[in-house]
Amino acid sequence: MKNFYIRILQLVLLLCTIAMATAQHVESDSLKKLLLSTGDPSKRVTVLEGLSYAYVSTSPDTALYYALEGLKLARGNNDLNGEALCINALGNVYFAVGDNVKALEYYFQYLEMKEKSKSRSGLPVAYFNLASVFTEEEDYPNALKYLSKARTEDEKANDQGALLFDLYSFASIYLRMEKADSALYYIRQSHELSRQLKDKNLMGAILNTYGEIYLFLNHTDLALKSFKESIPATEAVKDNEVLASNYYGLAKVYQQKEMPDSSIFYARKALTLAVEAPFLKQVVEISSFLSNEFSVQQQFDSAFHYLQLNSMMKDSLFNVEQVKKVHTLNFQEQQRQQTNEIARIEYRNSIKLLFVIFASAIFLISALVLWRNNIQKHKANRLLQQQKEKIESTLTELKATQAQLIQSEKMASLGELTAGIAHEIQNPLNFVNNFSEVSQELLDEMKDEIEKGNYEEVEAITNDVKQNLEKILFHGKRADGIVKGMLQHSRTSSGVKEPTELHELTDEYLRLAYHGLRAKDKSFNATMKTDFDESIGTINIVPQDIGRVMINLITNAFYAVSEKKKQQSNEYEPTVSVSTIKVDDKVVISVKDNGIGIPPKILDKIFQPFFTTKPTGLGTGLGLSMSYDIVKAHGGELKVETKEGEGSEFIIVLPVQS
Amino acid sequence: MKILVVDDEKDIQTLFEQRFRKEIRIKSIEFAFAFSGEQALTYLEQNVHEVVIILSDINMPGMSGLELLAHIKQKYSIPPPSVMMITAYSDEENFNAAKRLGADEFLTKPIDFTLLKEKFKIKSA
Repeated sequence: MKNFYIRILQLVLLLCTIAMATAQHVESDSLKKLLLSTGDPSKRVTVLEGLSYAYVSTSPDTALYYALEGLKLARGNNDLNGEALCINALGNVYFAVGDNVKALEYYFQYLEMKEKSKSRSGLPVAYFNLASVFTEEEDYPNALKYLSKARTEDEKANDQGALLFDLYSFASIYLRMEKADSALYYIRQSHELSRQLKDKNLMGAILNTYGEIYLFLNHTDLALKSFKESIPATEAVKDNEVLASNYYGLAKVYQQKEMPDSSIFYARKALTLAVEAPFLKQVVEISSFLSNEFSVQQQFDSAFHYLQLNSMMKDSLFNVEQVKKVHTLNFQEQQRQQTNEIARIEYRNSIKLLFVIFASAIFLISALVLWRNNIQKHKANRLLQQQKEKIESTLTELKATQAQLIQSEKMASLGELTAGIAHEIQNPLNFVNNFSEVSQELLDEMKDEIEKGNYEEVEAITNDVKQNLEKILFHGKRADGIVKGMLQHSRTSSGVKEPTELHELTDEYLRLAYHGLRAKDKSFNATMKTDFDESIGTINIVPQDIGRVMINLITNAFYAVSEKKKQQSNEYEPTVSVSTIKVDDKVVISVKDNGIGIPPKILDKIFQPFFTTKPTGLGTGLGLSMSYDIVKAHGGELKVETKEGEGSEFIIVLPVQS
Repeated sequence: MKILVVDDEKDIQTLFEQRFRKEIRIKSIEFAFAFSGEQALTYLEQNVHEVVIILSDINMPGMSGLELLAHIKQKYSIPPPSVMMITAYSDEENFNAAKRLGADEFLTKPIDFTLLKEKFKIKSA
């Protein structure tokens, strides 16, 4: 019984194929006729393409042959349009046999050609075909991508018919993706458009899709309604595939409703149609479905029968599927490789980029560091420069300050002097005034005495008055001397140093001092001793100033010895010695006397201004203080060594270079 | 009235002798002169009871007038003789020092003899 069934089935299959071939044959006949009659190459190409299209679903080999022919002819005639057309046809062929990789190849080629040509006419087709392949490959993102592009083009061209297909395709894809909402959305749109356009071709499929969607959503009543509505629409256009799908859909619905009899009934109806065609995939699916149903019904014979059918179909399908699978695998592999390649290139690029960035960073950093170093160096330089300038200016300041200090010392000593001078001049002036006043009074008295005739008294008064006048003169001169001394003192600092022969200088001033003293006091006599270091030569000094110092010291020495002479007997020999000697970088001048010496009590006062041991009028008291200042100004020292009653030695130390 | 004048300038003596010749003639004032602080002290040791006023210069070589003042005030406290300081310096330092040491008067040079005579009159009274 089983065998019989199978035999029948096989026969039916064969018959169907023949029938299909015949049907096709009729169409292709006319085309062939057309082919023979046409000499125009581009027209021939079109016809060939048409022939290819005619055989694509029934005899892919034939379709391939015609497509290749057309392509050859088109290329030979530089017929770009024809070429493109045939390439698309080739894509169709491969798509039909399930070689999706090749199909994509040709479809992409076709797309490229259409993109190059300025017209947009081929683009929607190109996109749509690609979307179909991707759908088959279950690469829904790409499918949607190209479908969108097709839709955009169709919208631009306002091709409603094409748009209808686009919208329908969207719905199909979303249904496959199990995105029921989106699927419904698009199927509604396409349904609406279909009604607008009064389309018949797609209506059935649209309604069928409704059914599938509702079935998926378990809206069984709506699904039933949709499938039932679809049947007459599909019958009208003789779309058996969709019709079979409708019956199958109904079977599935009844299965859900748990109405097995109805389910089986419609499933069988569907299978018959599927076998007739044959729609292999549907045969496999529906037979499997039926097998299950019968198992549930515990009708195992029938279940087994359909299972056999199913496995047989599967075998046939298997090869196709295998080929497809291999192709898919290849396709996937290629995709992966491409992705990998891209990834690798990107990786390498990013490495390169990183490297470049890194290198630039290093370069930048080092440039920065160098620049900073440079800046710092400049800064350091500038700082150094600044510091140098500062130091220089500080040095100048110091020098100025030093000069100022010396000046202020002078001024201070001058200030001291002023006080001293005030006091010093005060006294003589006092006397001048007082004695003048007294003299006037005396003269008045004298008048009286003259009138009285007391001539003795008058003479006494006259003597007094004369004495007063002498004192007035004396004190006047004294004041004059003090002022002169003060002026001298203030003038000492303005001297200019010049190289001076010390030997000559000392000699000269010594002689001066001696003769000056002798002029004042003819009885004066003292022994002069000199000891000069010939090697000294010249030293840098202000000759007038040092000369003054020497006069001062020598004068003092002479005074000391003369004072002693007054006290002592004739055996005493007053001696004053002056010597010069060079020690290292210094010159030492010594003025020694064997006079009265200096008592220790006044030793620390002798250099003070206005201090004098001489009776009033004989000395200003400025000599030693001035000498001290002068020597100090030369960068030297003025020292004294003395013994009371025996003598003194005044020592001047001067630097050779000053 | 005996007045001791202490000053290193010897002409002071001549000046005073001429300025006070009338007083000296009628012996209302008798003057003694010392030319240093030491001389003054030596004189005072012998004549302290007679000396009523001591007139002293401040700036003197050796013992200064202020030192002398200190000595006098220390030694001769009962009764202390009047000590008047005369000086060309009218600065505060000297003034304060003199005051501190117990000077009775502080006079500046040049001496105003009229004023001096007034002061003497007060003292003698």
